[in-house]
Amino acid sequence: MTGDGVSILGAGCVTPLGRDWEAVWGKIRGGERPALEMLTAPESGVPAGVYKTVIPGVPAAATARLRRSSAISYFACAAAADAVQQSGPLPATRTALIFAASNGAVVYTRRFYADVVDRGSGSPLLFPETVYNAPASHVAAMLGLDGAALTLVSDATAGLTALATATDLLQSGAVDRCLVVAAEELDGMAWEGYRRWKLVSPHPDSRRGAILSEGAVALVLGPAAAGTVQIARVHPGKTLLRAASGRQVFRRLLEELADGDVPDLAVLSASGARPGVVEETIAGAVFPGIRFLTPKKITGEAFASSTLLQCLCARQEIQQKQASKVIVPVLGWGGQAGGAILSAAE
Amino acid sequence: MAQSFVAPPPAIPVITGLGCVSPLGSDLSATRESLRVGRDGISAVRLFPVETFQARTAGQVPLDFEGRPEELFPASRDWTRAARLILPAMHEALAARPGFIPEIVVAGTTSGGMDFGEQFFRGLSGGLGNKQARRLVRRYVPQQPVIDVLEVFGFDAPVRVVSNACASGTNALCLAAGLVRNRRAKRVMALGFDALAELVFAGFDCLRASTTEKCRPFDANRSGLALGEGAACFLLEAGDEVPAAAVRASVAGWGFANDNHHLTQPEPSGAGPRLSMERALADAGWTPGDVDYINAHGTGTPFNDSSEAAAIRSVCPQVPVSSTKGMTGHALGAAGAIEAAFCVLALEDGLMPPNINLRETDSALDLVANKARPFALRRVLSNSFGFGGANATVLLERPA
Repeated sequence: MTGDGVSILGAGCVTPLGRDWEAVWGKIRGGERPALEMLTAPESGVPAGVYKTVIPGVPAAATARLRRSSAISYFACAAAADAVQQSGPLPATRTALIFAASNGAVVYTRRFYADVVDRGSGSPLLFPETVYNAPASHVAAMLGLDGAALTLVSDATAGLTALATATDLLQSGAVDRCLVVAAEELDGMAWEGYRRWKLVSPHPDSRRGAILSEGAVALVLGPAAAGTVQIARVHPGKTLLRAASGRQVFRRLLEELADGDVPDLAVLSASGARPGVVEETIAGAVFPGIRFLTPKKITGEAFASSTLLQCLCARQEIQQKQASKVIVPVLGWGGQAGGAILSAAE
Repeated sequence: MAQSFVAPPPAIPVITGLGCVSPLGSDLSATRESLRVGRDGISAVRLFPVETFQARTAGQVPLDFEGRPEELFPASRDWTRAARLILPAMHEALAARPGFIPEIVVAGTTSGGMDFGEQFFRGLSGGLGNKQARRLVRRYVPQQPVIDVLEVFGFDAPVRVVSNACASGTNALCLAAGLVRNRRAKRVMALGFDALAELVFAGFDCLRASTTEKCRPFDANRSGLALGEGAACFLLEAGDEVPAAAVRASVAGWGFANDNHHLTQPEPSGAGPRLSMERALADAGWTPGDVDYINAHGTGTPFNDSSEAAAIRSVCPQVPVSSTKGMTGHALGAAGAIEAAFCVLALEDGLMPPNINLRETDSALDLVANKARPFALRRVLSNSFGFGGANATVLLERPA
């Protein structure tokens, strides 16, 4: 278990509910969902209801690099810039950038491969932007960071893996700051894949799946400092090999994470899909009577980005003294589970 | 006031198990022999049609493991190509260290189960059924090839997947070593893997980065890279917790750097590679004179090799260098792990792998030209650089 705490020194978010966190938080608390927009899934033609995010403005330092980028890099740069504005400048060499994603730059990947299939070759302008670490590269260049820039990919647990990696680096003394960014962009083909997997729904009230979403969340982390909210523990996670035993494994994970304490609040990863139902059931059994918050049922499912949004919700509750210890579990769609505990740093 | 962390005394991360699958062989024995003779593992691409591309060759792994281990694990027939590459590498590594149960797996890849992603895309226009679609989508995600193989061995360790372009394999090995060094975990598995995929092949082809002839790293007339594929698996433990006889090599240090120059082109003076090498040396407490051999990233593209040569001249000008990518092709996210495995074999055999297909060089480096060079190696350095300006260097040391 990665423990002893690292503090959140700055945060930024770009979501379908907006970019101003206080306003976003107000809408989450008020149950105010974003406007549903429709994509068309390729080939099946099924209308896909999604929560889209407006392409944000980015600092001038990023404009030239991003001119050929897809939405994910804009989201990542904007959220990172806001987080750094809040935390103060980062030491160029002693900062690690940890980027997390699930689908990555899926829009350009689909477009590039469509060209290969249709025309026998693809565009050299698109291909470089298809690599998972392209958004991290743009963020590092925008901020002039020349230290480690690592991109971690998985299901929604990638956000937690990024936090665990950042905590490891900070606590080993390898770096003084970590900028953790998670971002996701929407694409009709990805939606179709999840539809075939029976994980998404075209409408928020269907109760049969999640609404996909997009955006980014960035956190600046440093050694724990009094008066801040800290990520007190990050569980290294577990792989759920089979559905039946997976429930037991996830239950054990929650127990290990809580380590005998009962948190005041659980900010769950449930977003309307099957794994979320399992998560709510098990969390309810392990922590009977505690308060639950399910922000992804409002904001939609943006995977790793949503995981960091869960952390922002936890931070807000602690700052407002509505909770003192918050558990943030994640039951991913791709066989991984993890969790973190947030609390006030003393 | 900021809290200072009380870190436990660091451990020396050591490699106690190793497996490698590449165009040079499906196990360490075959790989060792190929490195000794300088075998060219590049051949005509058979996995997908290449008529519309300029490049037509790549380093491919024949998935005919002589009854091992496909026959042992029939489930693999339903897997992505990437998982089928990982399986024999992990099998070989674990065979050397019975009882090893990883607490965490750190894997590097660029494209995960891309072949299934391609099949899904093509299937959408061909009436792909839901059952088949679910299988393809579920197995396409980058962590799934690793999970598929872990399940064979009954491991439920969490999987951390690094996708840092062509530095991924080295990043994964170093992050895994860091978990052991900082005593976050006692037993960590590191992997690098990537399978040839049409999308990626088309990508390098459209960038004109792929060669239409031989891949000739550091040759004055080099014309580009050949893609490759493979997997390498490392079992990492703390040096003070394993018997000396179990140690194949130690991971002495590492360095990462980001050059912030361009998404696909390296900074011409080699600033990023220089920084990653300098940071690795500082991390290990080595001087440039301590390095006996450098396994270069050496893709064979004009820009990469000139940038890397400038960095090596600046940091370790006297050290013998070779790129093994003329033999294997560029296995992208697997490359760093495969080349680190080659370095372990070089340390064990006292033989620097050759830089094949070299005619004349413009690098001003001491290249291990065309034939393996015997030397009692003790300390070696391996470089990996990737799109996005990702640079990583790892240092490996033979046990005393």
